[in-house]
Amino acid sequence: MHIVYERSGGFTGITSSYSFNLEDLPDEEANRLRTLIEQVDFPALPEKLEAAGNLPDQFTYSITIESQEWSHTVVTGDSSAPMVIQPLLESLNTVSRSHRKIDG
Amino acid sequence: MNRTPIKCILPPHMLKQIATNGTDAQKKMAVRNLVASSRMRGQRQDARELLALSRTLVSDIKKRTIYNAQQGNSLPGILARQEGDQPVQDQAVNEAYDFSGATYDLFKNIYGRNSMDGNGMKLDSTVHYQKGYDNAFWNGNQMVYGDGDEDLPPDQQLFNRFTKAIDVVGHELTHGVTQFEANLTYFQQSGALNESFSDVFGSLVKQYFLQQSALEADWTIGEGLLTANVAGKGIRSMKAPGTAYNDPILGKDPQPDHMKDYVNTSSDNGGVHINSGIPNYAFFVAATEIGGYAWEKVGLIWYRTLKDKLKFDSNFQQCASLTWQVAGENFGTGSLEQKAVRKGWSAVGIDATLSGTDGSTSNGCLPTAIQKLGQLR
Repeated sequence: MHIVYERSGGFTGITSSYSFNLEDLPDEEANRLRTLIEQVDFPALPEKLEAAGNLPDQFTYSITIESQEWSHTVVTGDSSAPMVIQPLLESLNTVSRSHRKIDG
Repeated sequence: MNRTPIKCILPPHMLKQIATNGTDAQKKMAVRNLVASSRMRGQRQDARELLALSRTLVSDIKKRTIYNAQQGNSLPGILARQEGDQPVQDQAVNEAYDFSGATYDLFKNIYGRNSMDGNGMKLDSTVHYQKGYDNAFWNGNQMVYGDGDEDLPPDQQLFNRFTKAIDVVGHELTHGVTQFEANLTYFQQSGALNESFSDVFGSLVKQYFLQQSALEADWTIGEGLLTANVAGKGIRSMKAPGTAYNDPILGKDPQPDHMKDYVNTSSDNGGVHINSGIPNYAFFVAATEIGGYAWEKVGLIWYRTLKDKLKFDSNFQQCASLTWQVAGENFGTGSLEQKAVRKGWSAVGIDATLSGTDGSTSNGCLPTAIQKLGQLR
């Protein structure tokens, strides 16, 4: 399973992203993420979970997940992300920040 | 004469007690009655003093409340400190309290504005939002602050807590002022102006707090937010956009300081935190050209432009023309102040003497569509 996580906007305006194969993570981390992806039924989530107006200094998150069966992208923001996907966002944020790679 | 029953019952010494110790509503009632009764007795000096008292006691008080999200997502979180409380152990709570107070003071003391909405709005802040949240934002009702990289090992931490910098607090609250005034659409040029006004008044809050002149100020936004692991002095530089940081992990500060380097991008709501460098630098040049305390003259010009002139879809050219116009209205046509504003915009490649209506650039009709969508929420 391949995951591309991108976080843009925010007070700093610095975009950061992390692209990785789930299988390359330590088992415990990979299993935790796989469970969260299953729990939210990721391929069934709407592609846009954004607020109608753009909100000052909030982060925009883009998550793309490709498995052997499906590929799906969800874009969301701090205030518009439903509670149900917050744990997944938080985990991806932690993984991304511990392998920090900054784009422009 | 419209006599309220309470005035006839309560003697002045009791009303004065209520004016000092009562709830907001009780204070208002007591002061109003004291003013009326002293007028009846012909004590004009007394009435003047009481009117002054009523302004400090009743309508113009800060109403700060700080909450703690305890690293979760729920807003506002648990109560941590409210107006009048003594400092607590938690540094982030005290910073949010003190710096939102400093922001209120600049707008109140210098521009006569009573809180972000101009009508005594409560100043609510939440600290310790989420884990590892490298950000702060204004959600339309309150401020929200993360703790930076507190969850990572020290050698991997890039960001400190976001309450640490007074101008970040001022920046977030100014988004509130903008929301209640021009309501600049957060996209492309109108969005970059929204960002720039927040940086301008965030920096002015810091300068006013430290009583620094335009020449003494550092004009850095977010000083202290970056840890010692990062090569940088802050997040943005109004004095020299594009030079705040240059780091192997964070990259280089991407802000331009001139229209010729304007960045067209779909990221960051059309580069709102990038192109804000252009109007930021125009403000800096105008402020240093005039000299003295920047909040007094150029700050006033920018404030009145935001309050009375700008519209939700205004672009850089229109903002330049309107600040130049406001400078003329307030300080005289051809005044030093008006010339300084023209020079500021000229430094970024914009002629402020041109009509703003001809200045349509990349904003087009998209902000209108976004505004309409926002109204449908």
